[in-house]
Amino acid sequence: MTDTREWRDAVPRRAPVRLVDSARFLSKAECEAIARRVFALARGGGQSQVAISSWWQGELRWARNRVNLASDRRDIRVRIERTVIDGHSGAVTTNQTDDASLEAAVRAAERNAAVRPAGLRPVPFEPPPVPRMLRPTTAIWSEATYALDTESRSDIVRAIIGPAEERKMLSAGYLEVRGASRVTVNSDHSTGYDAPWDLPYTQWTQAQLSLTVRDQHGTSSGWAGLSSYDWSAINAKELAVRALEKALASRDPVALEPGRYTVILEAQAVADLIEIVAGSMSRLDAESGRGPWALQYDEAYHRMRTKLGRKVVDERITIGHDPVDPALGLVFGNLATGAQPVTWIEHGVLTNLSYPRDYALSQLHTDTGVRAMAAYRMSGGDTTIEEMIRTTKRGLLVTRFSNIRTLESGSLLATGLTRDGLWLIENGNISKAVKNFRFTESPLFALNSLEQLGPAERVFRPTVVNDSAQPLTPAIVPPLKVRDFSFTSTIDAI
Amino acid sequence: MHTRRYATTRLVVLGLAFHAPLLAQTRFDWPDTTVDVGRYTNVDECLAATHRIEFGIENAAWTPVWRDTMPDDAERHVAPLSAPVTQSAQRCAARFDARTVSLGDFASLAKLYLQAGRDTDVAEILARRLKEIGESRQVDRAMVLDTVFHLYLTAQPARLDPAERVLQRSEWAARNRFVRLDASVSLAAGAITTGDTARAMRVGRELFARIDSLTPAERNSAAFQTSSARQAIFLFFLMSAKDQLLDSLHRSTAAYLRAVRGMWARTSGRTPESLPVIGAHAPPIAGAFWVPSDSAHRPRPTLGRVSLVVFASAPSCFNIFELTVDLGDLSAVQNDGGCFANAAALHRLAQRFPELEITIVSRTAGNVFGYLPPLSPTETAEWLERAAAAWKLPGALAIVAQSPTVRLPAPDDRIVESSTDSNLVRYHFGDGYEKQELNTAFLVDQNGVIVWQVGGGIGFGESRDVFRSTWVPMIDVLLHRQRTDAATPSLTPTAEHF
Repeated sequence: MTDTREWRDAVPRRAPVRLVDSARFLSKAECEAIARRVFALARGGGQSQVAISSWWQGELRWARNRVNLASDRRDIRVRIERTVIDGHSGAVTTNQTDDASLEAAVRAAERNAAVRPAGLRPVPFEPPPVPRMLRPTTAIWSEATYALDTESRSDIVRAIIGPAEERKMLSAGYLEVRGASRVTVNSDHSTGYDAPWDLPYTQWTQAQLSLTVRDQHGTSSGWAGLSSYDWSAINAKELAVRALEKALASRDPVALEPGRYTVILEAQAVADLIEIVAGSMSRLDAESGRGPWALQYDEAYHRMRTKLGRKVVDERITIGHDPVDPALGLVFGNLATGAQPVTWIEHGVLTNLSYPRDYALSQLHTDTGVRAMAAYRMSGGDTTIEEMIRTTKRGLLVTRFSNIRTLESGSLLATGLTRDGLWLIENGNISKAVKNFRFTESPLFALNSLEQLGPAERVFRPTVVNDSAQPLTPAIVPPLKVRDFSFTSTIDAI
Repeated sequence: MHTRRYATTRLVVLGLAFHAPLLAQTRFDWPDTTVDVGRYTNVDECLAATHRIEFGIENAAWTPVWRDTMPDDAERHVAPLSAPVTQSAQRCAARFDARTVSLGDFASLAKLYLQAGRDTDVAEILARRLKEIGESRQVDRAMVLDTVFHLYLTAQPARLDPAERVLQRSEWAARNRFVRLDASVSLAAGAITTGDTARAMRVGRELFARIDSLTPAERNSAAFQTSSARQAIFLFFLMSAKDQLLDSLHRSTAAYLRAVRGMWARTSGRTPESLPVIGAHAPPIAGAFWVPSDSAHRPRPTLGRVSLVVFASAPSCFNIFELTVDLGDLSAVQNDGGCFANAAALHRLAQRFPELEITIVSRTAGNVFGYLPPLSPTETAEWLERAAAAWKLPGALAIVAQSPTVRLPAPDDRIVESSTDSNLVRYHFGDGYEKQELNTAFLVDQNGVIVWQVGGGIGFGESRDVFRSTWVPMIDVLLHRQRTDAATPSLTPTAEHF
């Protein structure tokens, strides 16, 4: 019987490979080298397109005051598309970049292209390339984020857990940092022009921290969170204090009757609600008679008219996105949706809905689409939350919402739950913690029932997809005071 | 010692889950998706299971082959359900005794019985349901019969005998007359589809009687004039009298038109001459560009040749950037593919009838495939020519030069085409005719008279069954006449010929 110790000793000892020691994602030069190799491997003419993304993710998760996951992960993704015969294309994705694997992938893509049914794409065609444009460069890279190694993350979380543990409370949360890069290159557009879907090499960082603090009996809960490309913009200590204070203040909640209340929505609650509006901003849907932005059928032109140009919410509301906004960072879409600023709602008037480049070309005779409302800045006011509370005779202070679902797409009537801190305001003061409510309300109704707006601030809006190089979707929204917000039942969740 | 403990802590931080109890972790097991009728306890679960099996079989049959490029399978209308579906339905339905089962799921239960081939049990639960309702509630009884009637018709294969018996029940009289007309049309259509000619004739006679019994007020009512029944009845008349019509057409277009117009008058209550489109002269097709270019040497439709004129004018017809429809879903191809779906049918026609003159009508619209404007009409026409070549469209392609001219006011900004396509204007047949520029096709005899039309207008429908059973024999007859006339030089085709 082999002695395991002996066996272990027989294996040559190497220093442990640590994911954080070497480059954690592919550089521009490495990506170009992979693309060149793919182009050289192509057989049978046509064109090749290579999309390369790579990412590193460091994370730390804790619950009940104990860390239960600490990891560093990374991966790459190489998507090879070969367009060979009559415009038919085939694509293969791999994360193996050795010569044999890349060649096998290219051959597989060519086989896929060959077996596509005839006639699906009848002529070799693609929209014309567009002149390569200068893209705005903004700070989406943070050394503070990239430098947040495993040890630093554990130190931060230890400092977060400590105060909660001292107060006999339970802390749970998640800290994540990422570094990633993406590039898409086409063998036919090597100089001067880009295909609409080409993407120059872009690298970025992103960070997020969110935590919940609860009491030992599960009767109170406080939450705080923030996300940004820059870890130094996230004050972990402040978030920890806020979550703890909210948890302590939300103990022993009382049940209130459901009904219409004046509400003060913290910025996070507003962002949660606006998420529904963001998902509805589709011009194609509106012109098909779907969603809240369809108006009526125009008999003269045989077209469905939309609410573009009409006032749809309170005139104090403007929602837009500027790629050079340093607080938002560049949302790098491809050229198909352009890199210029876009305003969807301006002083309450619907000014833009998103649409793809195909639509722009055929329907508007312009060459770029309008991107989706993935990242945005919403205008605010100068009323602080304290001032809102002071001027409220009877109302509720809402930390955030969860489990929001749209009930009716025409009005965006939605339902969801208040969570992690809900308080009653009486005569200008917070009087008591309140058991959570289910709301049934349209965000459009809320945005038309504004009383006061606070200064816009960054909120927690991390990239949802794990394990990939997905772009940032930051949002900056104000806290709002809204009258007649409808709560329809109490719930037991905290 | 201190260093060692610190290192251990680091390892723990770097390590995997150490706090969660291991016993609580279970391996992921893929959910069991096999059909196990023994586990199903209600009718809905049984129907869901049979649906899954049926869907799986259809999916397997459709996915590898795009069947629209294949000849239509007429036998599919009378084919029974596949054995796995029937067997699963039989096993699952075994627990539901028709004499004692609760009738809360009456319609679902009847459907399941039909899938299982237990037709007598459908009759059993129908009798129980009617007994439950009682004799006095005639409308409720008629509603139940309506449900069963449609279940019989939509079953595979359709159960025409019991469906017809349901229609003959006295309770049926409680329903609205137009609803009853609709039902008779459905039964007749089912008979035609399944090749049950005798039943089609019998139901057809009843339909004639029903139509004749309508009062003038009923006939002129909006409910009747706009009903799908009226259009369907007209279509049914044409199809049920197909042999007579073809015989008339074989003799002359004039005889054919007399028969068709007579049926129109009898169906609609209007004058025979008010029948739109059919009988009109096919105006010559204009084209700034022709593919192939020598097609422009003579006006089309060509006098002396049987012609098919197919409108593919809508920009979307040739603006399909890339079809992303599921190949297994033919309806998606037909709806979204537009002219693309037509191309396969035109190929088949061109192969079968080489003498048939086919003219496809299109127009430039400032962009092709969402191409970046501005494109000159010439450039657009070049793209259309490439598309026609790639699709191997038979016949000639006529392209009218036209550019979109209207931009809707900001912030809408959409470009809206002006409706000045000269071919569309010429092929507009009066106020009662709704022009439809996509996939509308006209069959023109050798004298330039339109004898049939599909798409738009009077709503003949565009199903392949109609196409197969009407167009193909009519083209056959017309071409036979063309050949005969060509062999008889003294008969020069003229308008007076009919």
